[in-house]
Amino acid sequence: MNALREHFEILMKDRLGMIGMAILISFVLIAIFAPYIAPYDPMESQYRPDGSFARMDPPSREFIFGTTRMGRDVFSQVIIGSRVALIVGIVSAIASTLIGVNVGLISGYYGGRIDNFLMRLTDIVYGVPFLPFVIILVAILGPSLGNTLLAIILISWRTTARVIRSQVLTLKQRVFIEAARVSGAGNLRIIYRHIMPNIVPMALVYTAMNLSTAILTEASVSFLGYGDPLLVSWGKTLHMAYVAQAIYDAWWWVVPPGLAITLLVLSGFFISRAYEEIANPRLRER
Amino acid sequence: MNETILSVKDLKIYYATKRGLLKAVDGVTFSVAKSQNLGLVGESGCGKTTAAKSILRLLPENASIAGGEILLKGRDLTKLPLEEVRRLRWQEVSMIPQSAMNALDPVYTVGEQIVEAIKAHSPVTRKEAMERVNYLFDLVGISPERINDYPHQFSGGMKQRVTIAMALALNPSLILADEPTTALDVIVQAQILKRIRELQEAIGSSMIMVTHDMSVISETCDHVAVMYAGKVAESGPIKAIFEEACHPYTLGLRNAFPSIFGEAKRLISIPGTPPNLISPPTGCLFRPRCPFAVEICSAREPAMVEVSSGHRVACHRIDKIDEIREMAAMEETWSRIQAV
Amino acid sequence: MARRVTPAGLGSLRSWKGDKPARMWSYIINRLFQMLVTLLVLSTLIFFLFRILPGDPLSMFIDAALPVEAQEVVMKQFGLDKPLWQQYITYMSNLFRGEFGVSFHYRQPVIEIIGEKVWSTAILMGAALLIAFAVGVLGGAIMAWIRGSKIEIFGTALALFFRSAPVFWTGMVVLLIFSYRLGWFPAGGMRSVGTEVLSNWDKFVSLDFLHHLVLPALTAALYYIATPLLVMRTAMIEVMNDDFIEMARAKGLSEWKVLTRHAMRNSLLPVVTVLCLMVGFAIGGQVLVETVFRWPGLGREMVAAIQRNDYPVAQATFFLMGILVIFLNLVADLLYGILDPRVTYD
Repeated sequence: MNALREHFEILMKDRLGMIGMAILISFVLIAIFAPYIAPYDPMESQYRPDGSFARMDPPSREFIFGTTRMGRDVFSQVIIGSRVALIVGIVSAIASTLIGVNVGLISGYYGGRIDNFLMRLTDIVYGVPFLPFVIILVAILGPSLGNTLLAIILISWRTTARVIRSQVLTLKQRVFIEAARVSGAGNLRIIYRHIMPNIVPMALVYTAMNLSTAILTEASVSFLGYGDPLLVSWGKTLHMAYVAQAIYDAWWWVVPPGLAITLLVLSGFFISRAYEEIANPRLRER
Repeated sequence: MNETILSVKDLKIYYATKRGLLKAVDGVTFSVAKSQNLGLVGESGCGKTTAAKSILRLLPENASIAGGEILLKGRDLTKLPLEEVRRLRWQEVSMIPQSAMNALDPVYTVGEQIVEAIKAHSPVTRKEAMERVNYLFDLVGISPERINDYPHQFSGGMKQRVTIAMALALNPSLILADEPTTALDVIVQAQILKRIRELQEAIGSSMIMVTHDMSVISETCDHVAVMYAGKVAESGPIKAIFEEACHPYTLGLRNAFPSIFGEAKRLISIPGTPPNLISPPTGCLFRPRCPFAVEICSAREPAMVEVSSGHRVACHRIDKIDEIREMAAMEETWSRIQAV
Repeated sequence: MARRVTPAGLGSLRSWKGDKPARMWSYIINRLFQMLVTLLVLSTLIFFLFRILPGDPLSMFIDAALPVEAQEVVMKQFGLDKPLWQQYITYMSNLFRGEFGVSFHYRQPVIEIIGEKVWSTAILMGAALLIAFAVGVLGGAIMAWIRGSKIEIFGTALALFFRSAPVFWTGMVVLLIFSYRLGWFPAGGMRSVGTEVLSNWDKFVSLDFLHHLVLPALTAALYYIATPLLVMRTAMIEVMNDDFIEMARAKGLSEWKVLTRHAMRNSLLPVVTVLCLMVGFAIGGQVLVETVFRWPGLGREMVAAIQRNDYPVAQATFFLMGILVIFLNLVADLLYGILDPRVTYD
């Protein structure tokens, strides 16, 4: 309990961490209430008050972020698009953390052949270029949110695994582990009740980073044209803008979705850094 | 022969912290003569390390010299600009660090690091510097082949010898030894202390030995200054301090360290903790832990008085010193404080 | 035998003391072997990956537009009429011979097509990483020095901002401002249309080329810079707490020497480690930067190939990227071993 309180105290002190949390929570709220916040259907062509097709309109009172070449409301696209971003981010952050932490714990604790095998596996995964792999897998299996998530999770556990493993290696030497063993605790108990609580801050550093990386990856995949055809995502909006060669004529189509991605990803990095201070006391301000 | 190398007068070093001004060193006076070895002894936090390091002006950002003088061969170091102090560093005053574990840069060879110190102050060639390193290694008992080895290739004791060799590189007038044996095991500790003493005498340097360990003091020092809460409680020649200690704190310190010789008796520790240096109590700073405190002790800080030649104490109760010495030897005297 | 007293410092290899050089060679061989294993697994992965396409797996390799006889020739060449395990062996031996097949789209051997593109990618990625690391290392050191100040917090936030902004979006905005609005730089491509190319040298060392290189390289560099910057900053902060820094000061060294010779030199170690991880990350960035700026490199070719269903090219580019990542990982590993004398290679 004390550790939890210290945890929050440090998070509070880190101004960027607090900002990150605030931004993340705002986006989550926006995503939850998106259908109520978005004024229009993001995929529906809109018309101006005078009846004409609202093609490439700059920001106005009716269309806060302007419209696309197809007359769609950019603001609504940004609002609804937050859902895909957050789903991808949160699901892959949780999944890759679960996989990575367990691989790291088991590999680090047991050592020997298990460690060798798991680390070779991790090395191989490290050899796979991340984004190219995701693109290829999605292109082959078919563009869908599920496939994108699968591809991301298949690779992104690797960093967490390595980091947690090296932490476990240092922790293994500590006296309290020896004490637990002497008092008869079984291996699993030692791993999950004694070692794991100590690696949680470090794991969270990478959970937050995974959130950010996953969102960027999904956006990139969508930008290249392999996003889920049925869903609205920020990357897809930017894809449309690029394909329509609208960079030069419609800055409002380009800037807001990109800023949305940037802010959400930024919040992930801020939170990650705040956790880094918890995990590594030497970084704290004196 | 009795030339004074270093004279510290009424030195004050304060730290600016979030919670207020911390008076780490508050009016400290001591001096070191040529070839003499002064021991600065006291608990952690008493200001001994701060006082010693301030001679080299190796203080953290938030520390400043708030008053007093540091006279090195007559020059007041507190008045010098940092550039001047840098010139004097290592050449006039060098340092043997507390833990050689981390005191040597892991990415350079030990030879490199000593050459660096030499070349920073004298215009010799690399070759000449290396020859000097060879000579120094010989002095401290390290094989010259190891000049090109990296710090991680040495054991703890050997690393400490490297730092000693480094400290002697420019034949400094004064060497600051900051708890040089704390990180070592007892046997190596004895070897190192002996070596330090021999070298110091051979070269003619003076030394300030900072430590919390009275036994180290007894083995190596000529003079002692006992520090408490940023002030000097008692100072004088070693014989006087050990055999005719006057300050209750000194008496308490002696109790806390075991001796192989003499009768077997229980260790008596001084109860309580050092005072808050940001808002210290009025009067004598030791009063809360002193079994012999009376009214005047809370009212006024005691002034330093000379008890015998070179032996000075800051205590109001000097007149009762014989009784105090007797009572200090008894455990009940100290445990009474705990109960209060 | 008289021992030559050499200035060692960085040159741990130069000192013949101990058996570190011997151990290092055995380590290199070990890692090369590992690299081979990883490559093997990677190519096997690709083999199976490209055969799980829903629908006719053969369409991956045989262009359906070819006349039937030609299709049969290709089938024979790649052994596609044989059982899977035989196909695998053919595939692997083809791979080792550098035989990547013929592009569906270009109707030319794949190697000819991607040969030049490798250089284009290498130069762009190299330039971007160089800028990112040079500025990042210096910036990180400065930030550690002025820690806690407003500039430092602002710098950190700025670096993170560019790291968070999708690099393709940054590219689009950069194009909008510097190419379209200000007209200072071209809007993409590697060379101006109609430029004469007299020699290989001309291809890459010309003002026109550099002019085209600036925007994509800077965009990518902005994206990469946060990592070395922050790692260097963290490393410096930690190193400044170490005792040997105080010793360096006690020795009377100037603050500059303390910072560079001791603090920065030690901080470089974790930065080099991160270079390792950065390469895999940078490849992904390359794909996007090349697409936005229409830079004719491996990344853009891979995306285009996938879109055109030109599987031989897609396979080959992915494989090459994998080799690049694995190889550079190894190089960074070895570099660290040279820089840190404590590394022992068991």
